[in-house]
Amino acid sequence: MEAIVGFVVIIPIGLAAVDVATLISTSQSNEQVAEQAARAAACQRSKEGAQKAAEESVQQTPTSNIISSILVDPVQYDATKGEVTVSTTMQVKMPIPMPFLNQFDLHASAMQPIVAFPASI
Amino acid sequence: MTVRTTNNKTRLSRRQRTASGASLILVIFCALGLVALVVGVFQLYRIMGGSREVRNAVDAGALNLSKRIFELRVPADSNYNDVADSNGQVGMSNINRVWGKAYLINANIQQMQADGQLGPNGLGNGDTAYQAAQNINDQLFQEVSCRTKHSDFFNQVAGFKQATLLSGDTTVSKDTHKGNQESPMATIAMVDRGDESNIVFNPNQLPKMVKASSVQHGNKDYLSGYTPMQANNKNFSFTSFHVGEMPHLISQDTFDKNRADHAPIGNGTVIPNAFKIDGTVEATQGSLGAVACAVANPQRQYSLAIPHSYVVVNFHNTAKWFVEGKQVNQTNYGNKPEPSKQGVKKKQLTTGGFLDGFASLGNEYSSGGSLWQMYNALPGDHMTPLQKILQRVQEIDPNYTITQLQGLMQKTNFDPTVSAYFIFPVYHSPDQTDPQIQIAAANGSLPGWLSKNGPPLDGIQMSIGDETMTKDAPNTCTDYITGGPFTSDKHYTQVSGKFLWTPGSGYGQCLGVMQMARLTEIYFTGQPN
Repeated sequence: MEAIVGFVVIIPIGLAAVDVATLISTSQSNEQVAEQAARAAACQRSKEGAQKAAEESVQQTPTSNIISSILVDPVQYDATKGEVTVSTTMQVKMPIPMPFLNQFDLHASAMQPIVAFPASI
Repeated sequence: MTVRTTNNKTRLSRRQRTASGASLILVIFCALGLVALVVGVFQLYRIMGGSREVRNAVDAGALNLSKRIFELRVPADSNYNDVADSNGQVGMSNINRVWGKAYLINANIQQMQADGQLGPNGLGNGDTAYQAAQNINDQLFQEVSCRTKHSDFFNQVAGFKQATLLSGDTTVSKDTHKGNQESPMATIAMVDRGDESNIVFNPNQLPKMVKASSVQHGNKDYLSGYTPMQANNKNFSFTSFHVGEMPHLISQDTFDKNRADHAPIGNGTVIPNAFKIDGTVEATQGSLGAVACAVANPQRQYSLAIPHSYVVVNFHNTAKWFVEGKQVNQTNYGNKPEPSKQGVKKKQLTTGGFLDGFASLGNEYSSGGSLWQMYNALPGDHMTPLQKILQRVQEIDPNYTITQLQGLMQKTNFDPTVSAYFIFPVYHSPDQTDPQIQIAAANGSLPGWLSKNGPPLDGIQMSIGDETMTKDAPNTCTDYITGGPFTSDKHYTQVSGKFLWTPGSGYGQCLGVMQMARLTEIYFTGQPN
């Protein structure tokens, strides 16, 4: 009886640990995706080009049963400062759905110097 | 038995209690273990994630450095104002232009020396041009290898990319451990050795004696980067910049193989194109650091040129007057017909009488028209000297062709009152990169930078070709003899021309003067006609 009660405690903790590990892993992935998207955007000379490059970069990351989608927020392209910031939103479905905790939106943003412009004359 | 039974019950209940306790402990330990595992994994995630954040920040900082390094500029020497940027400064993007100009000047001097046309100022001008370029280079080298400047550029970006997964001071910064810093020479490198620089050139624009090391890319010839080449016994080295590349990260292995302290080039102040930088976070979890190497690229190409320079074509006409085989007079004539110019006055003849000699001169220019027509006024090979002019014009605009030069001369009206014509470029871009070759008479509209009265040419004049001699055409002569046995003698003219080339190195703007030296020899034989 105690063992059964014990399992009732341990199993949820174990399952929650699987979810936490999933969150940690996908969060890292999302930050790396944002970083790569920012690098791609930094090679463009316009905001439109940067947005497109960031989206193309993000599309290279495959989705799965866990990562259901990755979206690129409007890029902040500041040609004056020479910086571009890309934010991504990754929708993650928990492998073990919990009540009210079966889906998360992870946000990450990365800033990169714009390297597309030639040196001034 | 009862007692035994009781004892048995007691043992049994003890055993049951013991088993129950063991399960509970196991459950508690498992639960704690799982929680500890989750906490441990989370801490590991923070450290690994923090480490990745530091790496990303350092990468971004290195990219920012390799992008903004072009903002470091130094004032150009007055000799190199024409290859400076729109503010009269030289940075990494246009340092190759400075060296390119110095290279052309010294290549011209080497050729002049080989041709026996080097004047007394030539070697000095070559030395001065080289030293001035070296001074600019050395000043720039100090700037681009300065660790403080590197840190500033690095911190502009890396300083804002926090390692948020760590705790404590999460700012990624450079120069945290000042005592452990490498020497500045270890943080710069010359990568892509032997690949293209950002100087496009035309092999034909160089004097024949000088062969530049080049790389072809997209049907264009580029001077090789980091490949020492010589002109006038001086070493030149250009910085490599790949065409079509942006500043980007490279591996530390590639960087280290090309480090300025491990594999120097030339005198050790060759402008580098790659930079290494490290950043650190002093977090509660400990000190996390990363290193990144990046290659700079200005994404600009320039032509090998001396932008503020010119070539002169001038006309000089001489008449030599001979009586009975002896030269009695020498006069000059203009670039228009002079129907009856007297060159001999009352010259006593051995056969008796006094001769007055006249000539109709300047008839080679009678048709008027264009500079091209006047250049070709007498028969002969005019293309060989034109090639000489073209080579020098190509030191201004490497893509200029002989057809364009010919067309320009055809479009230029010949002004009989002017003897010198300047071939020079006009620019619309603020950094003198779009030459439009024009020709104007010496009294015409010349650009403000053009200094007609600059330092004397550093070359010596030499004939490089002749126009075919013609007899009694286009200039003719006549005479009157008074007091002699006959009133006129046998007389004739010989009209010829020489191409006299005075090369210039370009140090004082002038790249050379082509003089069309036309000569009309007028012979009065003193013999009866």
